[in-house]
Amino acid sequence: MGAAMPWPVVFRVVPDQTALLTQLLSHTVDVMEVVPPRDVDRVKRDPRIEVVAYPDRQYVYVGWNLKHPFLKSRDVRRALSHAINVQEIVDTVWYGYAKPAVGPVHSSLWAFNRSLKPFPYDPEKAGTLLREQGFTDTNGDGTLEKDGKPFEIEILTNKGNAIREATLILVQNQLAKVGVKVVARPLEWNVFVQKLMGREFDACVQGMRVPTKLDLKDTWHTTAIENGLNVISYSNPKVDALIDRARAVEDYHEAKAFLEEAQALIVDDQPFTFLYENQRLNGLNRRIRNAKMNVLSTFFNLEDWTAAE
Amino acid sequence: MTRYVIRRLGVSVLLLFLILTATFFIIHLAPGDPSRLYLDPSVPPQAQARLKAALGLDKPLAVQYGQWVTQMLQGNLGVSFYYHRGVRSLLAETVPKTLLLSSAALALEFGIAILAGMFMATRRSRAARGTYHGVSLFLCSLPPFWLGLILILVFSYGLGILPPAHMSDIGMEGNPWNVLRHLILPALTLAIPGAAATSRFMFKSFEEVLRQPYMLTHTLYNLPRREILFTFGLKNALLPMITLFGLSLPFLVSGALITEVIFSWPGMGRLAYNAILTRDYPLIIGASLLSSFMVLAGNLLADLLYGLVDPRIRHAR
Amino acid sequence: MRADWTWIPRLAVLLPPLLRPGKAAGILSLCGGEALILAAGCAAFLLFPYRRIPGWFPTKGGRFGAAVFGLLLFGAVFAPLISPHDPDEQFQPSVCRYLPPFSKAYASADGRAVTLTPSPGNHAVRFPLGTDAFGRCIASRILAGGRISLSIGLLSVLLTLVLGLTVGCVSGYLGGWWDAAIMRVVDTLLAFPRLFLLLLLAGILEKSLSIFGIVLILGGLSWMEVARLVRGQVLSLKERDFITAAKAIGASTFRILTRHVFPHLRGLLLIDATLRIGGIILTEAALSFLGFGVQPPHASWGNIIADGREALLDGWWVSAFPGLAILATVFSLYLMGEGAMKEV
Repeated sequence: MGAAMPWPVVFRVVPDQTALLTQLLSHTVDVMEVVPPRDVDRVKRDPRIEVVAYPDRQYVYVGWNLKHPFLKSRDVRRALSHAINVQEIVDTVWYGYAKPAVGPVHSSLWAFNRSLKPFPYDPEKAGTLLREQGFTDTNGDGTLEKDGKPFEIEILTNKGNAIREATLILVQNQLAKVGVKVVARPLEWNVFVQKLMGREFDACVQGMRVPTKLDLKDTWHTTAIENGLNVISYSNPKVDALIDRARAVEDYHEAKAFLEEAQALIVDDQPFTFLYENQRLNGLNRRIRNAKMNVLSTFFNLEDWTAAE
Repeated sequence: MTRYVIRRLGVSVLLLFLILTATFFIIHLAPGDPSRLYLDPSVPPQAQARLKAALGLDKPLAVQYGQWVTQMLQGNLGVSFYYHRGVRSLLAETVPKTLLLSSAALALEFGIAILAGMFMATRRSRAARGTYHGVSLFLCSLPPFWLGLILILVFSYGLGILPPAHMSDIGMEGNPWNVLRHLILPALTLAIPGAAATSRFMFKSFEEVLRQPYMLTHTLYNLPRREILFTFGLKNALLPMITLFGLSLPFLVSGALITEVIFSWPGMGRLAYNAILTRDYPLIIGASLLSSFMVLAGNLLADLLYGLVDPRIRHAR
Repeated sequence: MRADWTWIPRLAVLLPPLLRPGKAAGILSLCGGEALILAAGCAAFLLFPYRRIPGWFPTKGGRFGAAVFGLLLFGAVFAPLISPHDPDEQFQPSVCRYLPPFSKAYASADGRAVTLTPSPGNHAVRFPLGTDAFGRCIASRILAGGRISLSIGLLSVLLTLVLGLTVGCVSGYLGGWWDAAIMRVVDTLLAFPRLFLLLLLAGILEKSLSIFGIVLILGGLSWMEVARLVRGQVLSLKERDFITAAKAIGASTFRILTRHVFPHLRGLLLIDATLRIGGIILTEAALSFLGFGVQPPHASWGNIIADGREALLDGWWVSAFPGLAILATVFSLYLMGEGAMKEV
């Protein structure tokens, strides 16, 4: 890293968030990555600590496995997306430090389609759509059925991320209101990845990290079902064609046009229910000077940091 | 005495093998492919087949059993999937910390119990004894993990005088006073319910002793009250306490798990818990076996202690 | 002649159906296994011939404990009737999260929009013990959790008693070589370190345990001590005259055990069971707290405490009250057991 650090830097792993927060507030630690949104106000009340906020490099979504007999229908997916109240999730879990995500491309990227709007929260429409698709509650237990099979899906997420697990619980509750029973299963990361790669899931709450090079092929192209990260088995020939053409042209404006159209098509199909783009919230003791935290890393310019006593 | 010792040792060795066998069978009877328990999931699938053969996972069960038991007895506990380090060294780092916490808790528990039991047994007023019975039973019913959270709430978040987690502050790892500060709350959490239960035994035992004729004799001889109580009363009342102490030795290892998790105390319990969450099978199996053995050792020690103390055993051939 | 105060709680059981007949009809459709078991427990509590067991509730402490436990059991069985809200209902989480005890909110008719200040057309919603991270009523969750925790406790102790009684009777009555062999096995099982067996199982099993799985494990770990206790008693009872007489008239072993031996064991078993449920409830709570027992969204006292742990600063009530519930249950059980022991 070049010049020697002016003082020893200690990285400490604290599994208990509240304990870590207490240490930040009692000035035992100087930097806390990932301050829980609910505690931001409490941290701000301390004049000696500042909360550094910047947009995080991801958006979170619910990915529907298109191989599932119920989820392969576009109208069913649109119904589920109508049933999910994204603003409520943002307010409850992020206390306002996030905004609704609208499409497969993060809003900070050059190819983002600015004309896309958040998918409307409309539980009545969700109910109508599901009824049209043949789902009714025949036995009065609160869960819809079709052809004798109850609409019950298992949604996976990774354990250990309190915000994602909370999001899952909110989604579960919102879907229950329209008659879809959700079994929430937080899984340990390794197991979670295994299940995703093995396509053994109904749905998942996941984060999509923003790449440094934008390429929709890996996730949205039909060829990526076998050989890529298209774990939900999404296949739309029009989207495939647009992606291929965007990759083929040199001109940034032309590519952007193709990609914008591809985004609009994907949003129409709702293979994901796009949830939110959150901010990254770090706690920093003001005695540390010159720290420039950004989207690439919290410790981006660690070698330039200095500490006042 | 010697026969007793030899017999107890023999039983312990037998139990050791039984535990190993039981663990082996649980691993292999569990649903799913048992080889996932040995194969690091980050190994690509093509290499997995080769690794399976190399580890001998395609051999018949009996052969695997033999191999596995030999490995375990030699102390080769494998490599952790998550930490990518030897399980043995991971355990070796954390066991002393667990022992520190448990010993402190045990010392606190017996210290409080003996003094409280003795003190209350000498009270004359029925109201005092009644209150003692109620309060001690109440403290026995405290869920230990809840007690820990309440202590953290009151002393760390509320009053801010004691740290809520870890063994020491950053930069003060070797500082014994700092460690002591961090030790207080978790040790209390472990000690309080146990002390309540143990003090009730002490109370009963001391009451029995107080009723004995020799206590009256000493009073008639005009010995100072304190000396009577401590020298004669205590010594005799301690006999069942020693048995209890022996019974508590195995808990040095197993009792601290939840407390370690709550206070992020870097001991073996917390390590095992995280291993379960991350499906780190070599570490789970290693921790489980090690703690079983330590419990066995604790039981053995307790029996030997009891043998020393009980004259019938001590003087047998 | 002492007045029989036990009729008070027995009659109180009839109150909720009278007060909320609509919900009472709904309870008939709640055929969850736990509801049945608890109903059975409640029936036992109501119909049991307490006065015929010598020494039951001889002490003030024992009576107090029985009253508290009765109240808790009653609360658990009638949870759907007396619960202020549905335990899974999330009242607009962004508004109602972490509301302190005794707070009120105002919900619109369709439940969609909730405010903290009164507004026209909104009816008041009360949260006696506050809300959790998702705007769920803690009091309702504690009642629902009580159902699960208490039914697991009762079922486990039933399993423990059945297993322990059978093994102990067989071993004690048969005596000789059988007795030695069986007791060896029991002692070995007793020597097994229980927590780490649990951990190993929890770690290796892919899926989390169902309620019956939890009952099996908890019951399976405690029956050995009961077996020893029973065996000891049977050994001493075996030599008594009435057993010799029964054998003399040719009664079968089974008949002797059930009609002559068992009645003498009843009192002891009841006391042991009472003291043991306390420990089992604590163990189940600990398991759920760690995440290996009852899984969310089902509430169990242990997992509500775990939920509250991450927000101890913002909502201490989420963790505090379920703990008090556990404390009250275990304390009352211990008081009952201690009280009964005084006579024996």
